[in-house]
Amino acid sequence: MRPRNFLVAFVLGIAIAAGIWVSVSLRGPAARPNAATILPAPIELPQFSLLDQHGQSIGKEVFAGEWDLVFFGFTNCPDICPLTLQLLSQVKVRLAEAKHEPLPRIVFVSVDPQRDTPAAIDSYISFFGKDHLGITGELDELRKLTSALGIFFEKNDGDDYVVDHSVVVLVIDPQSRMSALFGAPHRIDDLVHDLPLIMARE
Amino acid sequence: MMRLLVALVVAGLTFGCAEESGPPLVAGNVSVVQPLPGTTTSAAYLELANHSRNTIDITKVTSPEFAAVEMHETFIDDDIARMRPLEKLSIAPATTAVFERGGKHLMLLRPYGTADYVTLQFYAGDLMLLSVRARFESAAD
Repeated sequence: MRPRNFLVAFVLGIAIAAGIWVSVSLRGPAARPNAATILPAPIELPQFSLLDQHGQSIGKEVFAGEWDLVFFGFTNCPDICPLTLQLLSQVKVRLAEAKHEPLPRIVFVSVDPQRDTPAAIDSYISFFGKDHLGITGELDELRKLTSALGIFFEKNDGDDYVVDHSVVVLVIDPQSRMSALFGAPHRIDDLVHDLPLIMARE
Repeated sequence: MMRLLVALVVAGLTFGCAEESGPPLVAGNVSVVQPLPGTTTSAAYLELANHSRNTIDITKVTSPEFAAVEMHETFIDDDIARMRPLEKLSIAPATTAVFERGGKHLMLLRPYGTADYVTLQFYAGDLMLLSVRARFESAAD
């Protein structure tokens, strides 16, 4: 190669490398979630037949067309459940203040269908805000949903029993698929940061 | 020599049994949550400071406003919450037991009616050591 051609090739190479570097630098590092586990392949919800807080029969279609934050618990839980529902409500308020659209719906699924009637769920879930969805129903149907999503629950003994249960918050996409989840402990800032990233992947 | 020994034992007993001035058990940061609509349970959180020179064992908590009060502790392991009753809470001398959200808490069961205030009574055996009166807070607070 003649010296002049070598010089042209060298300058061209430097220019291309600089261009790539500037392009990558301007784009910045890829946004990563702080706390969420994003599933590489979303999990399709199974068919089920449960009741909403108004006593209406619902299936997996109730999740279609919405982004949902789903938490499993029981209304007589004095500690973790109200704490988590309060936190999710605050997350929704923060996202609204940030003018994020669409806003996720908050869904509470009872793992204590023996005591949690639709009316009890209605009173309970309404306390945490409007437009929330409460779900209860037959134990067998509930297990169809929890088994498919890896949710654990187990009733303890006694009259004033408590229920051991998973405390993850599931993110269900508008195609009725679990696309991400948040493990405990839940932090408002993490959810506010991560949810737009999860929803942008659709 | 014997007199000196007796005097030392008496002095030791007197010193060891002496309490600081003031009550041995003191409550602080009391927060009692109003039962949520549609539910018959609630939770109370607080700190219990042992100002005595002896370990205090809380074995029972009662409330005139609730049918039952249980000491509970929430454990979260592998993303599963398990709540277990505490039969006894031992508070060592000069230490503070903390009842907090997501940890130890008092579970208040079956309120007798609606009230603005709640009274919590802490027992060691049959001896009531402390009575605390607090205003209900909304769970939204």
